[in-house]
Amino acid sequence: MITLDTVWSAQSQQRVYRKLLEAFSFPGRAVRLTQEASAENAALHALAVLCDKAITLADLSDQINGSDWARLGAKRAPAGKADLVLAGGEGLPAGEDWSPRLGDVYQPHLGATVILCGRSVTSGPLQLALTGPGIQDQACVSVDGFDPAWFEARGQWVGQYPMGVDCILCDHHHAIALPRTTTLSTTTLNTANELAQLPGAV
Amino acid sequence: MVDSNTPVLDRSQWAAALLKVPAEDVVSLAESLTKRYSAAYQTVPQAGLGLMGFRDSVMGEPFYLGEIPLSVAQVRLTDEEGQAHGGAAQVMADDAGLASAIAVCDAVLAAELPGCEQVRVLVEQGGGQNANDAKVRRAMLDRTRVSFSLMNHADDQEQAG
Repeated sequence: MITLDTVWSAQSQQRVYRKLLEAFSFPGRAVRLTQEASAENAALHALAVLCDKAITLADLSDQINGSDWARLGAKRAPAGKADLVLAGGEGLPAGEDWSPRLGDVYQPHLGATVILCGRSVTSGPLQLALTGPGIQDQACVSVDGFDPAWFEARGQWVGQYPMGVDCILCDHHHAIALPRTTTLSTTTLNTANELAQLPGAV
Repeated sequence: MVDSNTPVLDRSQWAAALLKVPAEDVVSLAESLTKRYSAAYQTVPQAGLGLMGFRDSVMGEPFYLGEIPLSVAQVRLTDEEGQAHGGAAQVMADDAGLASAIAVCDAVLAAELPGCEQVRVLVEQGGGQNANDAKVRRAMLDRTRVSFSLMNHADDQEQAG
């Protein structure tokens, strides 16, 4: 009768939910959230799964249009109080000492989930070396369009485990998850030679 | 049968009335209406369970009576002039498609768009059924009422005798 975009369908959301579980189980593993020829980006697919009327959401980079806000059902909240925070990867929000909700030692599950959108989570000049639960020895991920300041800030937010945040890095199609248990260090590749040596580089 | 003396129902009662009409009639009418207008979902239609809250009649304490099937839909119809008209439905049924159809009918009837007469016929048909059901329930309730004043009168007569 009335058609609804695939991103809102139950089948799509079940598929994306499984993919997010896989991403959090294996931090650094890129999972594809969109389907072929999908107009919606991976971040919206993730939000469609994670949001309902009981969830609060902060959209720091105004990526969500009015129609999608209504369909997500989430309530708007300030970034420091929201369950979910959506932001662009290009830089931290303006304002000193900004922090998403970290929870407390008795309620660590109240820590926010931060979804960052960048150009690529499968290749780029910024290398992330990951260790921790779900990672055998070490995982290296190359990303593009994410300011290293985000990862420095994340280091402070997760420094008092079990409090902290869980992060999902998205490009248009893929996502990788960084739960608060993952330890991360960054390296920026500066030369064309270094970039050319990345796996998958052309 | 539609009676000219039948009072027009308030919008808050349209969904309950349409729920009394055969579902296939409502769905097929809504499908024909969506072909005339550009229809889109405002929110994702959902079907599930809701907890029915109640208050006890003695202390007024809130409690949950139980679970009910609940379907919700909210739609927007855009006519040829580009004017948008909203409709919504929240019904006790486990059928998001039926809730969507009722929401479409709600939008058409509220805005009195072309096609609203067909919706009005179904609403009045369902409203009449609801009124009949309420009458039957009232009659059943009346039969369960006990007049304790007769018992007092019987006690007085025994003491006098």
